[in-house]
Amino acid sequence: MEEDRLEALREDEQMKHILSAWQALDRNSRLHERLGALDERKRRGILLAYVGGYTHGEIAGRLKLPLGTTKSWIRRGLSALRECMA
Amino acid sequence: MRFDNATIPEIADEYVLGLLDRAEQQALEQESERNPALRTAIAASQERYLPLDLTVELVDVPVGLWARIEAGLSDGDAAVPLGGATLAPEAALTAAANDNRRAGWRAAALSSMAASLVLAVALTWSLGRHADPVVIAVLLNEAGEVQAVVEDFGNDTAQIRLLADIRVPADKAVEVWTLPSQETGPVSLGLLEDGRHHAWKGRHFPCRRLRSSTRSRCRMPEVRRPVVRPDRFSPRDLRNRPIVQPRRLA
Repeated sequence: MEEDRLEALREDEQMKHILSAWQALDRNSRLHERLGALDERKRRGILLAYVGGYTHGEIAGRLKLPLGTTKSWIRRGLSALRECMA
Repeated sequence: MRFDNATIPEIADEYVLGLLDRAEQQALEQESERNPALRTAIAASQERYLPLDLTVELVDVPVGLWARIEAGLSDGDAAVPLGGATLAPEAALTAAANDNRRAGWRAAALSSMAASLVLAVALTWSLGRHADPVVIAVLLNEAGEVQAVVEDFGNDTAQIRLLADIRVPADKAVEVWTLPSQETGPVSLGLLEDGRHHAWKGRHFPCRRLRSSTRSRCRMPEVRRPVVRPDRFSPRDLRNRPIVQPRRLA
């Protein structure tokens, strides 16, 4: 039980660390601006993939979303960034 | 996997984010060899997300580290303590591998070249491996302890040796990354074959010669700490591993 709590804390810390990458970007950078304009779920999905190296399935588990929905959110987020930053 | 104008941008993004499985990744990399539109899309995607890689914080090396390394190199056989860290036995092997004072092996190698093409290929590799490195990058952890050494021989050959006692689970692999340029983006140099050492040749090279004829004019754009990653394709775990302190030797 104690180990589960510790694992959950570590996981939570890791998630915060990964998601903080966006905050660490230069505030004036286009990527910071465009990521900030995304829906939070899309932004989190992209950061978990790029920064955390997680798979679609792992991201779905962490965001507590169905796998298909997660893939769809990430694809839409990537598409939005491509269009904005082209 | 279908590569056309409609799918390439999306596939390139998923590749750069590490969302393709191994088979898809291999198919994409094969396709990119002959598909300039795909290569362009991958480069654009890498450029788009590169600022995230650059948010990592560099680690300062301990004062006097380079002086101690250089002193150790000039001493030849002597093992040199670096930053208070104890070097693994591989450190001694590193010095010995670069020792060209042994006579005879060059002649033997040249004879082998004449003997057969296979031996010639092997010799080319051997010469690169035993030459003096032009650039050495020492990779440190957050505590300033030496973790690995990257040696660039200035002849399209380089190698990395892990000095730290890193346990790699059987189902994991260690992958080495570099950042040749912002245009190219992060590039994988490959997996460590035996989990501790890897030699490579190729265009995505850590050391870019500014003048091909001048060995000392060489700089290391950026090398990232080798990372243990699952034996599947999720390669973009690039944060938390800056660490490199490039050093010109000559």
